[in-house]
Amino acid sequence: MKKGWRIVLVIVAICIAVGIVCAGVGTLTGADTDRIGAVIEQRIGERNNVDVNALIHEWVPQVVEIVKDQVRPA
Amino acid sequence: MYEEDRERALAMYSSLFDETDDETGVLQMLVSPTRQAVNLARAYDARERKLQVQAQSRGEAQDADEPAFVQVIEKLRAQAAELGAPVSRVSADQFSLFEDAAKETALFDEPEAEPAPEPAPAEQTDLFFNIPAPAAEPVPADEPVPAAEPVASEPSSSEETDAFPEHFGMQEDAPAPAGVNETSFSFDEKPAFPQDDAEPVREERQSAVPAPPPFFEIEKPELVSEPGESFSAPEPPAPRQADRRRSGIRAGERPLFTKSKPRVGLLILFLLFAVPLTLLCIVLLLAPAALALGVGAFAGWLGVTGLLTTFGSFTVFADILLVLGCTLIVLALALLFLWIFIWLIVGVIPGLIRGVCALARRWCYKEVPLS
Repeated sequence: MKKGWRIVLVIVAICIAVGIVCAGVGTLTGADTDRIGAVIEQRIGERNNVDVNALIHEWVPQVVEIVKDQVRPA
Repeated sequence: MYEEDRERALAMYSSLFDETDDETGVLQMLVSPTRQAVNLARAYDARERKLQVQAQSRGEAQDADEPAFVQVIEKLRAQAAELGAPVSRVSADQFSLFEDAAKETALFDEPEAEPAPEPAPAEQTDLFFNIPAPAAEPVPADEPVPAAEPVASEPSSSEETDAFPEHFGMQEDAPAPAGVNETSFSFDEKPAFPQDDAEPVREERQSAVPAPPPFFEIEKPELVSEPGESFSAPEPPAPRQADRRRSGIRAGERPLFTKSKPRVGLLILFLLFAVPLTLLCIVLLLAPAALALGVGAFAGWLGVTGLLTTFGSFTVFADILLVLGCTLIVLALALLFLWIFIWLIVGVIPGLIRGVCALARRWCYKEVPLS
């Protein structure tokens, strides 16, 4: 187990380090988060045939209200 | 140094060894080649030698003195001549494996059948250097030859090797002392090493030195047990205190075979309390294990999706790098949470069960010696 922990922590550390480096390089070279978000929403919507915006801003609050009404004692 | 002078010096040194019977004594006298080289270098004056050679070539020096280095070597030759033959200190009747084959058969005969074989003086040789030694006094016929072992154990260093024949040499003049075979031999005696001044060692040789005793008589070791005692194997280590107390064994006693006997009352109590507590702990551990599994699985799915999206949807390289970096971080966290799940399931929960069982074994069982 000790050897496994050592291996896993080393791999995790390397991946996080490389990820931070890549993200930093991308940010420095002109990455735009709005552009990335728009592409992701479009991608998810196309795959699942749903409107992601409507999903996040309308559907989720409706579900939360229904659950509260059911849980709240009469 | 002239080449002729060098060759002459070497020839003189060679003749020094050829003329003497005791090479080891000469070697001790010379000490070392380095010392001789230093002596010759000090004695050899190049400028004076050059003048001497020129005078000889012109024919002016009729009765030229020998060069200084020749005089040094002549002095060494005189000292070597005074050394004389080595005096063996081994008694004439000392048994030796290196004697002639003709005498070997006589050694295996019955002692009352034949008298002790007389060693041939001319054929008596030194044990290690095969140098013919002078004859020792003949052994009387009625004295039996002791079955002594030959002097063994070669000395380690070369100096000891050189001193060995001197130390154990046959003594020509002094008769074999009475009871020479009975005295004890000791390795503490230091052989006669030559001094730095190269003083002649002939006085040490010819002095009356007692012959060494037979080799086989050595002091008995102190470990020899007294009559009645016998060596016994070391006793095994005493059992631990906890085991002794548990088994009711007193100090000093050594149980050979034991058996685990349960303490019924304690076992029942333990089962009543320990088992539910253990189950509760296992359930409590399963909750974080499940949480870690869920988070790890979700992070893994997110990382894989992000990887596929990175290279399929984005066109700007900077965006690709940013998304790739975030994806790698998410994948690393996924690996970490999955490993935490595995550690909880495979390491922590079985460890808890094993610990409870060990506690039960220690509290609820006792070691009873078998009758």
